[in-house]
Amino acid sequence: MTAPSLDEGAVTRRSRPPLAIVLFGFLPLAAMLLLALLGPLLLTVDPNRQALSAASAPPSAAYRLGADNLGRSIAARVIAGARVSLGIAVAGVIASLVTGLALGFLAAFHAGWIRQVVMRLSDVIIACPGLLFVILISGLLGGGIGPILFGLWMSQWPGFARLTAATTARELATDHVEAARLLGFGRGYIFRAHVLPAITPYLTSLGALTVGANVLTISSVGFLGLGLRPPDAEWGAMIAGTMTFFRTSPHMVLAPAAAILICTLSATLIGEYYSARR
Amino acid sequence: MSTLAVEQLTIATADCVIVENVSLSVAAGEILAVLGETGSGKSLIGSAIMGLIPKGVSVSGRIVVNGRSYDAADSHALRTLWAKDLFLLPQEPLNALAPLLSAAAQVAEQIKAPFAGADAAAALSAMQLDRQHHRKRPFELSGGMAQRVMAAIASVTRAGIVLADEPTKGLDADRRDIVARAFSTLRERGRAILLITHDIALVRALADQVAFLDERTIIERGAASTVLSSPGTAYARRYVASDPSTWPARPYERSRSAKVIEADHLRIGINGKVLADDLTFHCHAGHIAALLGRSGIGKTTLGRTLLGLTPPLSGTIRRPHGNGGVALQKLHQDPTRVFSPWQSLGQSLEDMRRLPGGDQALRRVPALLQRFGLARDLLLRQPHQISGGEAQRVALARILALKPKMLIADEPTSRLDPPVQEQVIRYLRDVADEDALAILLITHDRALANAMADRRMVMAAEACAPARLLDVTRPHPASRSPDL
Amino acid sequence: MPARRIAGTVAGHVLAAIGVAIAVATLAFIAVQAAPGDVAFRIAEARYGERISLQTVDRARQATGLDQPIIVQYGRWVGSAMTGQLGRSMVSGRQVATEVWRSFQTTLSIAVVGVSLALVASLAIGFAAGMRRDGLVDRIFLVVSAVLSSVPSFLLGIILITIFAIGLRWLPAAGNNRPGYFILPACTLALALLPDLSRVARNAVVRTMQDFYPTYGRIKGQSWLRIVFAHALRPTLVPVIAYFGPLVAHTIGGLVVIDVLFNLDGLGTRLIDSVLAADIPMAMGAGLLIGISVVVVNGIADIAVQVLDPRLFNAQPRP
Repeated sequence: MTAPSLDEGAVTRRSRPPLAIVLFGFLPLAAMLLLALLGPLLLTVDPNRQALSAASAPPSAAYRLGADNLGRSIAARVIAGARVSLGIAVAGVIASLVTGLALGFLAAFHAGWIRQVVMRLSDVIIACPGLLFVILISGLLGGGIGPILFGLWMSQWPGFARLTAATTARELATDHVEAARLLGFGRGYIFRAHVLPAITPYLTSLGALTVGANVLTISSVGFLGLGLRPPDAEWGAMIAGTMTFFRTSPHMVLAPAAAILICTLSATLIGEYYSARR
Repeated sequence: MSTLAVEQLTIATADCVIVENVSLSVAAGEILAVLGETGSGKSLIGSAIMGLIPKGVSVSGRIVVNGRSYDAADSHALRTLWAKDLFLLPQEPLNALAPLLSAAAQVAEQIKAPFAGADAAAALSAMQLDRQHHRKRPFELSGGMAQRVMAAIASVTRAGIVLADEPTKGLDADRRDIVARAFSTLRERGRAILLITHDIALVRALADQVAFLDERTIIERGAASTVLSSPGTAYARRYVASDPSTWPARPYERSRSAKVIEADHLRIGINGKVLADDLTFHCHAGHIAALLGRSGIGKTTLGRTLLGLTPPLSGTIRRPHGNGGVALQKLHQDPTRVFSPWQSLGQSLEDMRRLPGGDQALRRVPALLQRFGLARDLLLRQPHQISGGEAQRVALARILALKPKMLIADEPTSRLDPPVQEQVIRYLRDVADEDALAILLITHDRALANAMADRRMVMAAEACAPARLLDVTRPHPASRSPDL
Repeated sequence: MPARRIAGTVAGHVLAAIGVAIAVATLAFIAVQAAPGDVAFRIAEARYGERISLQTVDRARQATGLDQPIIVQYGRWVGSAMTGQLGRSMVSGRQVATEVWRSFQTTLSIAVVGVSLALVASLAIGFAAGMRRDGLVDRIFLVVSAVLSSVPSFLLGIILITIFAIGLRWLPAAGNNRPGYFILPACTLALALLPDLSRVARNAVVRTMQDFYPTYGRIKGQSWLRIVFAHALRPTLVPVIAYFGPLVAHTIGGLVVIDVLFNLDGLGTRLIDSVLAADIPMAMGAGLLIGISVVVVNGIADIAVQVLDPRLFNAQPRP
């Protein structure tokens, strides 16, 4: 026989996010992610196919978002760009999160030289301009997805490591962790029941904010001409290629700009929501 | 002369009445103490007088200041009296002082006269703050010092009426006396003082008039000498009786039970600093041993060393064996913080299943809850949704379910109101007597130790030397214990 | 605050600057070596255009010392960098120090104007929004700053150029040889920095307003002016100044984009061009100056914060 449950019908404290966050945060980001994932299925036109007859065409039935100065479908290029931007942005955050979590826990559980090394290294990298990191690495390694991802990872894991180390160390010093230790609970349980719930909102917040920042960084790199090799579509590069036509055909600039804005804004809102909740 | 009167004050939110029909008056050179437990709304009375009632709370009644009568709802008018007639000594003075100005500068800015510096120093010295502390900023001051700086500020303002809200909150008993002296100085200077507190010992030391607040209103009032010696209502009687200094001292008895823990020539410290040396003592099953000493001397570190949370610098500890390493447990000072804040209390208890022997332990829980007078539906709540007294009893139940041999209780009642403190401390005594549990009670309260403990030890240090341990269970009349 | 502590902090930052100098030199060197392709070939391509032959490549190799072993090249450059000699550009053959210094002046003027604009505007906005948390001004501020922070800085620049240079023809759109050339780039930088900086200022004001001491100042009978200037100003400014570290990082990142967008001869352009052309001395020179700028601003902010708020010394976490 097992002991009777003492927790029947307990009301757990899990509030749902407000409507505004769902409408302007989760929904748009989810839509963009879906667009990126389903991109190949949705694309009926090759985003790189040029049709000079349609050059600079305004939005129409054939070209939903119009065509650019070389007659390429902007809608197709925005979707293709979503795959690149969101793919790299999310992959960068996942890589940084995993690295940061591992090193952060190491630093929190083993005060000593490991902690010193991780923290000092993080301090140095955090003081460096992140965009410069990505630009330099992409410039030197010749652009493409790999170097951008590598640069994002290099500049971002320290933020996650420092946050993990600081919040974990603070939780480990609480009375409830001390009490749990004395009662005989093991590390795994303490980690799951005491530490993880405390640090999750922080990491979720930083993760979402970083996705937004990454979309901006990737577009900046693309704008500088260091991102993907032309003619492959990328939002920043699309703006760089068409900005001289901004006054005559604003749709060529506005479509990728709106895509950047939607991704970054929704990710920022999600991040702000979790940072206010912690 | 300054007088303050409150007439038929009622304070309510949209859902409930917090304070109803309260009338008080205090004259110059007099201290009126309003005694009540946490959550009785006593602080809101002070806020209402100052015109500081928060949004969403409604007030009615009248406030009479020096003969002029004001509508209690007219916070604007009451605010014009700030620093002219009314002065507030708030809870947690460290948050009220300007964060980056020195103590002397904060007093001096209140004195609108030439040579304010000298006057400020005099005012601080009058409140027994040594000159070496005058130039310190709030973050360098202790709570007791900050309270004295506040009293000095009150003494140099013109305001004849002083409201003090829980001035001893978070202070040790020895610091309490210093604060009490600062308040008598203010009284001697003709201030009318309204003292809002839960601290019965402070009231005993200081008050001329006493009013008990319970169930929204004042249930008993009168001269301190009569009310405190022969209270008329049951609540006031219980409150007065909860002061450990009124309890009979525990008689001395030779210990016959087994030794549970033994420490031999222990040297303890943290961060490379030796706090105490040459500590040799032991605790017996079924006994409460009290560990006394001023704050910061190393009582908590000794407790942590015994628990194995901090390594000793040298010496040996013989700990009790058995029950898979859970023979030694700790009761914390802030009981609401010992449970994981992300789950219900029931879930926290339920999780004991994961421990070796946890199923058996869990089966003992319902009986323990009943023993400590706890309703089962309490377990559905989160730790922050229950009172300190309830949380301490749940914590005790969780610990006892594991059948430990010894409990180290680190100031387990210092954050609790006196009636609640009494209840928890009596449960501890019962547990020691009935379950043969050894308890090391770390406290700064001598009266509590005298009434409850079988052994009393004091940690004391001379100047900067490491502290020593003295057994003061049977104080020799010739050799008094050193200054604590 | 004791002078000894300041001296210690200064010494720490000087050491950090030297460390950064060596690290930048090393990293840039390794990176260029790791880049695909023959460096000498790329230099020759940059110098002589399409008409390159094995002879011209060899000539470039000897002229730039690339025929020496790598370790010798590295040691030579770090050694001369430490003595203040940054060598000559591999592409143009001009002195790196003078070239980089000229770019630095362009960048500095834009950075100083842009950061000052952002700082003044942020303090005003932060104060207006933070005084009444969740009030109308605060809500509008939070929405606008979230949107503005989601717009990439080059798009801000394009919009400004379209309005003020192409539409209204008030200001030059590109280049740094016409009067008023720095206004649009500085405004772009200020707009890019504004959302984060004003949010820091707003949060600082909100925190001060949540504290009890400003209200208590009134209870003590002090005037608003005295409370604002004598009690609250210093603690409120501390988070803003502490933010200067991240701020300089953002500024530099933003300036690289702004340099390219406005076709300016700033450090950003200099760095990107030299990296792409594998012009090692020039890339190192630009990187070095940027690295030292980061360290200097961080150091000044660090010392300023410690002077303003000695509490931070006591805020060390205890194990």
